[in-house]
Amino acid sequence: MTRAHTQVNMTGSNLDNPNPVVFELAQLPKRTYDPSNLAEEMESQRDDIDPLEVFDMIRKINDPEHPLTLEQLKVTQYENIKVDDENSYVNVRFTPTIPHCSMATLIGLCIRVKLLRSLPSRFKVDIQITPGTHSQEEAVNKQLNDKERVAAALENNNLLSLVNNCISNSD
Amino acid sequence: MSATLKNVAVSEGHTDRVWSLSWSPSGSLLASCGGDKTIRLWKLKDDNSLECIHTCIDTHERTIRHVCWSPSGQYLAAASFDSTASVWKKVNNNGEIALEMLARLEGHENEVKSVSWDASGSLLATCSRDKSVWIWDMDEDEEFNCVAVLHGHSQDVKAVKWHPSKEILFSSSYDDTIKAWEDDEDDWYCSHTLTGHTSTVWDVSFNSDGSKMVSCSDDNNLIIWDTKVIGDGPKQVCTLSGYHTRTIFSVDWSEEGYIASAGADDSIHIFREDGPGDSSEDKKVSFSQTSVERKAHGGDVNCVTWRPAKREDGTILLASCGDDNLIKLWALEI
Repeated sequence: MTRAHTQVNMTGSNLDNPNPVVFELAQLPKRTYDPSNLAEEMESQRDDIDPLEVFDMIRKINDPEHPLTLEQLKVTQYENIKVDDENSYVNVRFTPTIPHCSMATLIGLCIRVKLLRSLPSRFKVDIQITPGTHSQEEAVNKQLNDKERVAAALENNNLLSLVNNCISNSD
Repeated sequence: MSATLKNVAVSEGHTDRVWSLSWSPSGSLLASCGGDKTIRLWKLKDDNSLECIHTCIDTHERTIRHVCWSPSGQYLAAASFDSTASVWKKVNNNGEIALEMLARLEGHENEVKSVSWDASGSLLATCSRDKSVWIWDMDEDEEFNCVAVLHGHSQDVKAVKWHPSKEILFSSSYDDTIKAWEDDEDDWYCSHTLTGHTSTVWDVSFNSDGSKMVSCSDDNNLIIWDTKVIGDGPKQVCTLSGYHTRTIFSVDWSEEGYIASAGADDSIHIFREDGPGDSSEDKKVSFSQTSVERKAHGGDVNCVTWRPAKREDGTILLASCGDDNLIKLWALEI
């Protein structure tokens, strides 16, 4: 990872975490398709969502600093996704690789935008840092869940292109 | 006492989230704005539907967050994420009502989030993510001069609202507080800081005589404040908890005493102060929910506002707008 040390991030400073641990991908529960269920699902207008589907939407989002996915860095994990389909609610927790990661807000914004574009509009989404894993946990959580701040951020073309870069290969 | 909301109109037109609504003082026009960067003017028709009669485009480069009519109904102010506010004049061209831009207010460093006219219509307040509140004075030539730049909030200022009769400005913020600003011979200062909410305070509204104020927050609560004795500072008299399940973005207190609140749980709640006989303890202020509309919009409800005047048949109207790009009108059935 010597190359990483000489890379600069968007703010012009050195990488926050030049040498992150890359994890083996975890085994996920297998999805079983029941054809009768599928027919039922297609009949009902409602598109049911489970945690695995939500994880599929965000696992391949790219880390802003490294050519690695959030799944490879264990920033996003299947276990940290809660879905209450009946009440149209999704809660995602993500884990920054280091407690002072200045990219935490950007990563959270990427997850929010990706879910905004992928989930049916009936869903309410809360995005939070896994408790105890970031020094600015409360401040980052507050920003990520303030819709006015998020709306304004997404009108900033520089920020929007950073977000789009990170999520461009995530489908 | 029960009162329920009945949906009487749904208006399409905006192509993005609708952020804010403002009734003209007579209640004949409704202004709206949103993420599509337009301001729309709607005429209230006899059958309680809305007709879009004018659209302002290409004025603001980014979201228009808030609109507010002046007390005379002659001017409309708008706040935009492009860090400016604009003031529009209502014109009547051979019966065609339109808005013409009068001034652009520049000075804030980033997103302007709210605008409010004082009771006289000569002072306009603006607030921004830059943590400041500005007060502008409109002179006889309809020109605007900044008379105060107020610092005090430690975070974004979400909303500004003048007291309905006194020259006191209230601002609510991402720093979880509300501040009251008063002037001492043209020297504006923060006279009180109101704490009580545990997260962002999104909006405030006053009852008709200004003796009480209600605030709403990301903590899902509404707080009622006694504002009669400003000298000692507004006192928290009642908290309405357990009604909204997500952030409350907007609250409005009607002339008739009804409080409407709305937010990210897609719902609109209506509350009313209990009469002296309804309350278990004497002299204790209490409020009861009279109505709730759980799926008021297909997404967050961003603004609720009562029509300032009853219709001729006595109907009280409420307008709401949301992330579903729609504006809805509701009749309060008492």
